[in-house]
This record gives sequence, C-alpha cells and structure tokens, in this order.
Amino acid sequence: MSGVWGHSGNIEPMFQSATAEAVEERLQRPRGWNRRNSLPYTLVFLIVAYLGVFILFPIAQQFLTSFSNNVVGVDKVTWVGLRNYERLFEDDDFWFAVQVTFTYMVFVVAGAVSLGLVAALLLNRKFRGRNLARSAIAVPWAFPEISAVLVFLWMCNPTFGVLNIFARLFPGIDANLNWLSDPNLAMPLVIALSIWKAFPFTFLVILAALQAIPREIYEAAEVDGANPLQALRHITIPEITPTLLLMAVLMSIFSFKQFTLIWLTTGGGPYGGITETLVLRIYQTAFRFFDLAYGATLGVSGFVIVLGLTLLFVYAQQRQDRARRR
Amino acid sequence: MNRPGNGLLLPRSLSMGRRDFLKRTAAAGFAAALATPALAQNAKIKIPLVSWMWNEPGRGDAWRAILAKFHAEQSDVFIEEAGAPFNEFTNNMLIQSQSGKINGALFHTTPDLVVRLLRGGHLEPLQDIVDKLGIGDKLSAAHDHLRIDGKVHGLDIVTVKFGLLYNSAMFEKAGLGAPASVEEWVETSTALTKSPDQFGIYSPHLMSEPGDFWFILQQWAVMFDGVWAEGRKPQVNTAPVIEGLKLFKTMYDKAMPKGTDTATANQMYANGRIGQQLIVSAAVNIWSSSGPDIYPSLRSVVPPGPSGKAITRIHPICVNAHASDDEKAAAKLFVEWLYKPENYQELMERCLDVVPPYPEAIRQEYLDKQFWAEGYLAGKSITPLEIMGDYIFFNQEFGNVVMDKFSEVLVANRPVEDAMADAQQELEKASERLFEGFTL
Repeated sequence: MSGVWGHSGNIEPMFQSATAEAVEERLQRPRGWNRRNSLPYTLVFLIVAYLGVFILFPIAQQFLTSFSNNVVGVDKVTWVGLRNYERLFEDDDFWFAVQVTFTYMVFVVAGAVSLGLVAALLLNRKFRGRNLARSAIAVPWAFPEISAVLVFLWMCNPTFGVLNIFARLFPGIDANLNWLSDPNLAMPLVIALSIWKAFPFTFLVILAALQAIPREIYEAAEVDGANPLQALRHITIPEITPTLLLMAVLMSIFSFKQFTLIWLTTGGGPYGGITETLVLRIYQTAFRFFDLAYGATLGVSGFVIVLGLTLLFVYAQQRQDRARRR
Repeated sequence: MNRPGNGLLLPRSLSMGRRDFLKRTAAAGFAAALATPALAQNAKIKIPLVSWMWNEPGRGDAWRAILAKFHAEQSDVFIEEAGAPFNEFTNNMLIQSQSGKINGALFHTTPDLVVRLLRGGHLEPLQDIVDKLGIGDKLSAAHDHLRIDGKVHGLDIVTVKFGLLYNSAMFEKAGLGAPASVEEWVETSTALTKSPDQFGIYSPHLMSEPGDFWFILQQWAVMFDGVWAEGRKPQVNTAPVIEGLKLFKTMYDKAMPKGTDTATANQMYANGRIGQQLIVSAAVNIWSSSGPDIYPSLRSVVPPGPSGKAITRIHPICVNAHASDDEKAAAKLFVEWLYKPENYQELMERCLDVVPPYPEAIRQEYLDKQFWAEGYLAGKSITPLEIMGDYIFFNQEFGNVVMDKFSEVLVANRPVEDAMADAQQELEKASERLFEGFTL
C-alpha cells in the first residue's frame, strides 16, 4: 500500500477502520498528491481560473488603463500617472453623474423594495386566483428590456402616445406633455419604468421570506391579543428584515449598473445630463468618444462606489444580526 | 535478378501481386483523402472581407453577387464573409486595433472609423491600384482625407450624400411643389402637417439616438454654408450654424412629430404620414424594399438653403497593413478587380447607389432610370473633414456637446444663440484637453 496512487482504489479505509492498525497504515502512507485530495483543488482551480480570466483580469486591465492616455487611434499609449484621476476630481460632469446615479438608485431601491413588499404581503393572503395573480405580477421581470422600452416609448410619445390621453383628463392640462423630453418628467418616468421592471424580483424573494415565517408565532400573537398591524410590525417586518436588507443591496447594485432602460429611453437627456448616470457616462466616454483611459477611470470610480456600498450594507447586516442575538 | 515483363525490366521490389496492389491503392487513396482539403486550401488564398454589410438585406445580397462574380472569373483568391452588424462593427474594429492588429486582410470602414485606423497605421496604401487603373485624377475629392504623402489608403465603396427626399404623391395631393428656398420649405412643411396624422418633415432629435441626431444635424448648418469647426477652433456660435439650428427649431415646432424615434418615423414615412426627410442617398435602398408603396413617389432636391451644399461621406474599403504579403496581394487583387468600371457599375446598380467614386464607375443609362436621384446628384459636395476640421477625430464628443445644448433649445425654448455660446465655450475648453500633444 505505498506509492502515490497506491491507496486510491481502496474503498474501505477512511471512516470504517478505527483500528490502530488502519490508522498507523494511513499515517505511513506518503504525503503527496492523490486523487481524493486533488478534487477540492481541481474544483477551486476552475472557479479561480474563471474569476481570474473573466473578472479579475479585466478589472486589473481597467486599473492599468486608467493610468494611461489611451484614446483610440489618436496617440501612442503612454503612462500618465494620476492625470486621469486629477481630471476626474475636477470634472463637474462626473460629479453630476454621481449625483444623478444616487438619486436614481435611491428612488429605484425604495420603490422596488416597498412595492415588492406590499405586493408580497397582499399575495401572501389566501384568496381565489392567488396563483394567477402571483404569476401575472412576475411578468415585467420576464419581459425583455428592449421590448419594454419600445412599448414605453410609444406610450410616452408626445404626439400620439396613450399617456397624453389620460393626462389630458386632468384639469389644467390642455396641451400634450413632452414626457421624456421634459426635464421635470424624464427622471421620474425612467425611475417608474425601472421600478416596474425590477419590483417583481423583490416581490418573489420577499414572498418566499414571508412563507418561511412559522405560523405558530402569529397564532401565539393572536392568543396574546395582537391585531394584524401589530403582528406586521412586531413579527413580520423583523422576521424579513434580513431579506429586505439583501434586496436593498441587490437593488442598489442592479440600479447602479442599469444601462439599457436609461440609454434607450432618454440617452441621458433630454439635456444637461439630467438622466445620465455614471454607467451611461462610462459608455459614452469609452465607446462613443473612444477615450478608453478616462472611461476606465470612470469605471474605477464606479467600482469603488459599488464596493463601498456593498461593504456598508454588509456592515449594517452584521450589526443587525448582533443586535438580534442580544 | 530482373525478370522480363511487358518489355520492361522492373526491379523485383516494384513488381506487385494483387494483394500488394490493393494494399498500396488503399494506402494511396487514404493519403489522397487526407490531402484533398489541404490541396483545395492551397489552391486559393482565402481572405475574409470584414464588413457590417452582410447583415443588410439589400447591400449584403449585392456584395454576395459581386463576390460570386469575382470567384467565377479567377481561382487564385477566395473571399469569405466576416464581420459584425453595424452597431457592433466600429467597437469590434477599435478593440482589435487597440490590441495592435486587426483580423482580416480586407475590411469596410465608416467615415469616422477610417481616420482612426489611418492614424493608427492599420491601412495599406492603395495608390498603386489607383495608378494602375489610371483614375488618380478622377477620384472624388471625398478621398482626400485618406491620403498620406499623396497616397490614398482607402477606396470608396459607397458614397452617402445628403438630399431632401420627399414623397411627391403627398405634395401633389396638397397642391404643393418641391421647395426651392428656405421660406418655401417652411411653408410646404407646415402645410403638409396635420398632427397627429401627418407631418411635413422628420429629422432625428432625441438624445437617446445620438448617432442619427448628430449625423443629420450637421447638414442643417451646411445648408447655410456653415462649418462646425475650422482646424481646432469650434465654430458653433457663428451665424451660418445659428441660422441652420434656428431653421431646425422652426421645423421642429411646426412640422415634426416631436419626441418620435427614428424607427417609428421611418415607419410613418413608409406609410405616407411624413412628407420629407433630410437623408442620405444610400437610405433610398431601404425604401425600395421596405416602402414599396411610397418608393415610386420618392423624389429628391438639393437640401434647400443658400449654399446648395450637401455633406458627402465615403465608406472606404481598406487593406490591412498588418496582413501578410500574400494576403495583402490577394486583397489588392480584389480591390483592383472591383474598381474596374464594369464591376463597380454592377456593384452600384445592385446597391442602388448613385454617387460614383469616379465618373466611369456609373452607367448613364442606369442613372437616368433613378427617378429619385436628381437632388442627390445636383448638390455641391462637402466632406466631413471640411466641416469638422481637426475635430474629425473627436466627432462624436463634439456632437454630444452641440446636441446637449441644442436639446435645450428644442424642449425648453432656450434661444439658439445662448445655447450655442455655451457650447462654444465648452468645446473650446475641451479642445485644450483633446489636442494636447496631438499632431496630425
């Protein structure tokens, strides 16, 4: 029973033999590579290789590019140190894009999570057609973004869009509204579309969390005389808070990265970058203006912001867990 | 140890029995089977033609037919289809150019892309082909920005030139004629508009479609003899540019379906709900297939305006400077063949194009049949280089500043002069960054 591969065909040893002889025999085996030991490393290697090639390498490349003057087809690429970062800090458009991004993110997260919560609470109750309602509510999530935007654009068309038919029913509105071309309406409309698209996901996850709350807790509360609102406040919400936090984190990241809905509806306009989030700015800079270096610098700033947000939420969750244990 | 046989003295080792014969024949057959693909491959040099046109119904078919003709006439070079749809094409090419080498010996380019590839040293000079064909002094002026030291580095395969393309049936129904002046143009456009069913004109104006918006907006200033930049000096606050933008605003207010995207507008145009578009000649190909009802009614005039000028852009075919010598020779063989009058004429006719790169590249009989082409041919050509100066390298970034400020004019009624004064200031500030260390 010696040699590197010697024991591998032997099914018996690992847990069955507790005899001193078997233990001794195992100890005497040469340390080294064997098939049983190699499996975890192989599996880990695959994951690490995937992450390395498709995630870490591009991130590293982006960091490197941000220290260059890489503008496609204009000059030879040279290192410029921190010049792009100096430009970033002095760039008013960048700071405005950050502001727009956070505005968009806060409203989308608040809207998607609260709407998802309300829908989940309603559809967690028993009534006829509940399953159909649950399926129907998930439709926006499954709807392709491009198709959703096209329909939305037609609805918002200032000349023959259906929204104006409803708008003109309101007193004081006697001319067609410009909707997506109106600086006051563009951002709320984009946010509304984003919430409509995102809330079914929060709804499904929150619904799953609600169904995991033991029925007995509610029965005990009922025996103690708690009304439904008190049960919601003291049982339901605390029980699903970790899920709500998780949804807030995920929705923050999703909304931070949102590109398609905003680009196709307003392109960052109607003017002055009113709806231009950081992701749109990155795209414009790198792929329309071909300034890869500054695009990469903006990308690094986005990476730092998302990382900061994620760490903040992780910290909040840990703190909450500790408080609950106490 | 020889023995006679059929009058030949064969060494014993070469004589064979039936079994040997079968064995050797089988071995030879097997070897031949293995070698056949290699022989076929060696028989022709295969090179890809990287283009977005394969994905365009009319043009893709035209190019396939041209390649089939080329393959039928010679057997040394075989050209394969390669590339990506238009929306991804430029990015794909630029990403490849960043890695140092573009894949493919032969590729089509866009007006914006070609200047970057030229600057990046990716393009092989094609002057030898031009000289050989004797078309050096006949080549359109639109090729001038593709010259380095007098040598042209790309040859046009489709020229797109602006004109006012209108639906003559709609005009006749309204008792109107083609506009000959700016004033007439505003009047006819207004008269044709019966919102929300019918509109006089459409021009892209949404920030969500920056490519289309800027592409066509440039022509509005050119109608008044405006240029957007001279060298490194932006000219967006000059009188001709302001005039052009004011005209756009007037049309937007009086005759355009506001807030409508280009795809919807094109559908409306095809359905006879929009009367005119300021659009390039190459787009007419689309209406011949997707708008059969309006196609017979299409006519063009020179874009109305005192200058009579029309922006003319060429889309060159280029040979990759980093390809192997054999590949470059093969690619040049094709370009030379394509640029012979009889082949280029066929390409133009199949693509329904009307602006040739040199006079003999189009047949007069064909041109006479293009009832819609008159305005496109009559306009005085002006190239992107002439209207954008050194900003030709930063065309989209420049355009974004203009469009952003001009959108305020359109949707917030800001005076054009104020908006363009801001744009001028912003562009001048940007020029310091853009041209730092930049040499042509």
